[in-house]
Amino acid sequence: MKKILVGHWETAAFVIILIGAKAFLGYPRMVTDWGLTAGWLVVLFSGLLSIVFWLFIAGVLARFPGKPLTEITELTFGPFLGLGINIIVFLYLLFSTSNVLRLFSEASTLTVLTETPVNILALLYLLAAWLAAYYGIEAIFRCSYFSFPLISIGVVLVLLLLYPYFDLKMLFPLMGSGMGPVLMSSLWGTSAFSEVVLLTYLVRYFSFNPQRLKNVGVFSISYIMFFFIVIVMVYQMVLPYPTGSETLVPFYQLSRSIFLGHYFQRVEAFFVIFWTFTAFLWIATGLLVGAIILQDTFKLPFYRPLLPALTLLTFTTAFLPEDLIQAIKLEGEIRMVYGWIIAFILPIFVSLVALILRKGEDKVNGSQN
Amino acid sequence: MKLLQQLGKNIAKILIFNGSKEREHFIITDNNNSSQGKETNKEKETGSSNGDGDSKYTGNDKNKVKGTGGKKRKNGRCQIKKPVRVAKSSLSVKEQELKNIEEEIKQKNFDFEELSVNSSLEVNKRYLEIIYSLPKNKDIIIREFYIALEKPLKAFVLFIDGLSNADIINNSILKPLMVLLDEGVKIKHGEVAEYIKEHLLPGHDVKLLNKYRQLLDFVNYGNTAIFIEGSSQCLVVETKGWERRSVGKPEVEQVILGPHEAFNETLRSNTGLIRKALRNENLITEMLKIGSRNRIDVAIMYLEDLANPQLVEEVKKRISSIKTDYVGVAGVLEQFIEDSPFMFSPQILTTERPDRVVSFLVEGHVSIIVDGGPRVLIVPATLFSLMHSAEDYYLRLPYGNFLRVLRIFALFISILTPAAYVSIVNYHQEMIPTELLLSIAASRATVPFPTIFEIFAMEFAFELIREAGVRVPGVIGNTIGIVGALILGQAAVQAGIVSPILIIVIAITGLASFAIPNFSISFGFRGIRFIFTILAAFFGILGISGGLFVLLLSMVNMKSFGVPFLAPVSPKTTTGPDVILRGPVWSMERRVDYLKPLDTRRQPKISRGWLKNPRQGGKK
Amino acid sequence: MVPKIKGVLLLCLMIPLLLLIQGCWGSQETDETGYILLMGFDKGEKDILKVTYQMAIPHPVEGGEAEKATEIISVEAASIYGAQQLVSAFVSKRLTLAHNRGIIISEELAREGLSKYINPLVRSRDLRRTTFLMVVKGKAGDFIEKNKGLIFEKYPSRQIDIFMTSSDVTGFIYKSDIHSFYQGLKLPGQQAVTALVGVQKEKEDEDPKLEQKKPRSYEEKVKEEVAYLPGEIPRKGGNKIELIGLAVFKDDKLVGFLNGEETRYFQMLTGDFKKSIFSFPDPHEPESSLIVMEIKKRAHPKIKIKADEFKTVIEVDILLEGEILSIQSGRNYENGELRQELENYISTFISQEATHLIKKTQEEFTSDIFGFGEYTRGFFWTWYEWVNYAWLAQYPYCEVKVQTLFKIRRPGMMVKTAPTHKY
Repeated sequence: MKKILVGHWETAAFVIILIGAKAFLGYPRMVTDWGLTAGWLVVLFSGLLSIVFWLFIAGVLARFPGKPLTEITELTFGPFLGLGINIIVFLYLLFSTSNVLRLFSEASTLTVLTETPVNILALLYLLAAWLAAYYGIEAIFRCSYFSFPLISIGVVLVLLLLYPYFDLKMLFPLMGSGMGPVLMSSLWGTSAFSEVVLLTYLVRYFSFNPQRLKNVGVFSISYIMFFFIVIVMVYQMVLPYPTGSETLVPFYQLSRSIFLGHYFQRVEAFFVIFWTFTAFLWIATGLLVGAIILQDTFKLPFYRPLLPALTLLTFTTAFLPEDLIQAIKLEGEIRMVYGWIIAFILPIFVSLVALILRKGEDKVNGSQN
Repeated sequence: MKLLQQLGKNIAKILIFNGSKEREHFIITDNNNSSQGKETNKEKETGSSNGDGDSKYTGNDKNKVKGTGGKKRKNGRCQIKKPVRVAKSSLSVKEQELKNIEEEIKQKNFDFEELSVNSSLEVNKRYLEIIYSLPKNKDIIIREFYIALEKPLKAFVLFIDGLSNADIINNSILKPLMVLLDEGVKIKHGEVAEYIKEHLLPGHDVKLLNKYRQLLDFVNYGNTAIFIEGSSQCLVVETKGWERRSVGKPEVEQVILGPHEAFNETLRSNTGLIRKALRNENLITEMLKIGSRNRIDVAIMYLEDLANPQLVEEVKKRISSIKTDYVGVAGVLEQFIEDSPFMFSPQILTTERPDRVVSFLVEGHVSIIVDGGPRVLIVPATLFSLMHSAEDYYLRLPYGNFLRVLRIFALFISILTPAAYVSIVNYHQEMIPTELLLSIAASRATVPFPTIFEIFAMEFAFELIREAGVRVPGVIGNTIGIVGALILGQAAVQAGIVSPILIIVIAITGLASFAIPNFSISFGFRGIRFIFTILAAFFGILGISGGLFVLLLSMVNMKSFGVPFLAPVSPKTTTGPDVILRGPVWSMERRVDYLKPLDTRRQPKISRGWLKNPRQGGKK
Repeated sequence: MVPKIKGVLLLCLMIPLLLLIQGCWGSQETDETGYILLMGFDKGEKDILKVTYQMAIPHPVEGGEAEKATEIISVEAASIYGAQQLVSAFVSKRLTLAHNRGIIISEELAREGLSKYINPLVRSRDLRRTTFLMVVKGKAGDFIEKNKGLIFEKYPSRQIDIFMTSSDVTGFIYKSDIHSFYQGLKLPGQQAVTALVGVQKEKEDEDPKLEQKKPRSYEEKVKEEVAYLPGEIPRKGGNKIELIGLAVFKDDKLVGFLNGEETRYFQMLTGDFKKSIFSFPDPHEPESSLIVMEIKKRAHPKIKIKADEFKTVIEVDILLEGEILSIQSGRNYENGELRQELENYISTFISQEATHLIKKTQEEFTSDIFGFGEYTRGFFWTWYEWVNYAWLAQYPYCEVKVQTLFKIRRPGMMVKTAPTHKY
């Protein structure tokens, strides 16, 4: 099979959209909960912290050029333990994807199509995502590259159109809940950027070397961090602290508040296109990367046959929480708060062990990253 | 399946009792003593015409004629009829020889590919009679004459009436050989044909051929073959002259400022039009033959020092590997060689304007010209080149860009407008200003059908009008257009079947789809529009979003001869400023990168030498 | 590859077929939907809440006869959604609040406390936070009914929009929507306000027992040119409803009203003021002539709050600029000393009135409707400290200093006025 390679711009766009999808779900609200009026500060700190984590992880990848993280885990820990760790990662990815699927379907039901049952919407998302995952990694990367400027224009448009409501005073008091809680929550907040670690599982499909990968990761994290800061700032200016932590779908609520005169109001249905597009891409990626992780873990030749089973699994897992509040709790209290452990700490652990045991490509040179 | 047919036939016989005598059905028999037996009998009974016509020949392995072309060679061309028997006793040597040949033909596999010109004129004549089924075939003329040498040499010319120009035959072949020959010309015995070619025959394009396959190809195309007694080679003179359309105006791609020439149906005039615009020694025309029955020429034109050799190889490989019996026009060839025939969008650009072909050749594309139709295929094509029209370049920069932006809007309008209407009116009524919504509600109050039904009915009517308008004879053609679209719509509104806003929606969509320059892709978008409408009717704006996503996915996945369909945007490659908007002509310095041409620089950095200021492109 | 595509296509085809069996959900044809344009809440007589809806009857734009364009329905129920449901019993449409343009709450309900009614409005999917919110002096049902004979527009939605946007040029109505009201309820630095509306008082409504107001002097008449509460404007013709004034809330209860003039100063202090036309008594002839100025906001007011342990001082600088519209006395106020005098006079005038207004809110309403508390945010590092500071409790005891900087930019089309001859 011809080797598929994707370029670095597409990878950057891909990661940005992946991470950015959170802004359409509950991320601004969660950040407001943690940092009160200093939500944007939480974002800033978590972004910087994730960059630090990422540099470490990417450094590990440089020692094993061309090998995805699944293989590195196996090399470091041996077959059984490595298998275990990879399975844990896969389960976490499955859990994330199903949670995101549930939340997006619920959000669509709540906001746009009130009477369509949630499972039909979830099915719609899943089918489109399955098709995308079937077409393969090239298709998803290129799709995200193509749609990335359009989605960012949509988001910027919403933010700009809310100009009449901007009130800078709402961003004060600066420290929000206090320095301590802000720093603590930025530690958990790095889970928001945890999708960047997915890149390490796709190393085989990249056309660039690990040094470039490091730069791509840093660039994407900083770009999306900037975007998040702007979104959270606008969100806190328009819907300040006590009211801001009440909304279910913050971005939708923002687009609902656009009022520029008698003829340009109630246009939130138009902005729905942007975030549903992001939803499709996210779920497609979740399926794809899950399949690739399984393929690498079990040394299967192809990943496409895994997709139907994975789709069904995601669908059923998505509907395990009984109601929306449980799903939100899963997102906010479990995935956000503990996700960074699996996403960042685990690879760092792996890399530390690799360092200690001195495994790596350049045994001759004995070089470190 | 066949059983059902049989059953049906029997039931029909019972129910539709026909007392009179049964007519004799016309039955097409095989020429072959077929091993197919029952199957063909059944086909004969039901009188089905040969939709699966090839099946008669595919099972025909036993009587297959040997040849290198595989399926091509098996077919009808070489079905040899049983010749008339002659009495054995009265045969002369010559006739015995002929008879031997016939026996040979009958019994062995007739090796047509290897058949070469015999030195005996009689044998050649016999061969030709068998091949062309003379004297039944009245188009083929064999004119015998004597070449006026010292010792008159018997010869005959073979040509096809209607394809060859009789004047040239008379004046350039028969006259010099029969009348104008100098007495006393001595020719050595073995070199008759060469001597004639070099000294006696004033034709501008004369070839010496030996194999029947080649020379018959030429004769079939309008050339004349001269067979000479005693020569095992035959002369083929170019005498093409059939009725053809002159170079006319483009029918589909009209521009306001720009040349108004279009291709016509003759290969040579098409290549001539391209050559006249691109006067370059590196412009190569390679010829291939395609179609086992109609054997027409396909010309591949490219610039040798520019086009990627791999691309040219790929094109040649694809075309020469097509095995079919009839490729009539470029459209059919396009369907054979494109990558994804099921996708909504074409992956090959077709055009009927020579100036467009030339501009693509200069970028490094390869063009394919098929004899018999005015469309030329350009390979590879990306979405952006499909959306460009020639007009953009001939106009000044602001107007060209304005047209481009307009076209992009037209693209989105033609896909999304009915879907947006359905989704807004059914699901997202809050988006419209209140007064407009109440007006729509008022006009829809009298309509008994749901919105989705209205839309489909009107779309269907519109498509019907469009299709009918193509076939209506020219005089009433225009009236039908106006009558159909406006009055029908107006009448429908008055009758209360549709609401007036819907007419506007449909009309705008139709107009927008005409604004897309490439006919095939606008057709594709027309089809997609229906899918979007269905999606929007079920899922509102989420359906539109999902549809856009799947559309983008399928476009991103398409490749056109190895080039991704959405290049240069999707895999990011360097290109000149000509993707969506166009840059000024002096800044188009680089060629597009996705073709990997051999020479990427088009203009030097400073292309306007007349400006004084070096920074703006002038000399110091 | 071909069979695979066929398989995928088949799959995609099956889904719509499945859906066809169930029908499409949520698809609402326009003739099944009833669009509510205005909604009003009253205290119910037979039940807890009385809700009045003004529904649109769709008419095509060309059909210009004076047909009935809206229908007014009122229903009593325990909750807003309950009322909406009950309507389906006697109106053959499914109601939607998507095009609702305004919510009108009666005085009675507002005095009891609005947070229990705000909650469903904010949570609602149909209703947006940009819907206008108004308190009516009187009953909401009356207001909507009296608005029936719409004179200039067909539907009240446009009418309310135009009314509200007129605050950009007059300043005596405040563009309050659910969003700003909600912020005022929840943020610890400000209190909520809404626009005040009412119905023109009929002759029969006047209480004959009420003593006549004492006649006002010329100066007072000039100064109180727009100082009306809704229903009191001396006029004839036009719509029966009046939108002027402000309803002041403390926490979530209505505590008082501000008339049109005070609303203008309120908007000046919060920075929402855009422009308006003011009449002042002529400084040299206060009993017989006046000056009319069009005053515009020059910049956002500069508000500084100085707090130490003993007292808190609020310092406000209002920045305005103006254009002369009328000088009845003919003096040359456009130029020179007189101009300076006029500017000072107007500045002092406005400062006095603004101070008066702030004091009124401090003493009478004890509610910081201007949002001065938001400016104290910068004093603290964390949210909890700021909440503990409890500005709203301290507000009534603050000192206030208002200063106006007013400049006359343009004198209209005339540079000076020639005197009229007196023979």
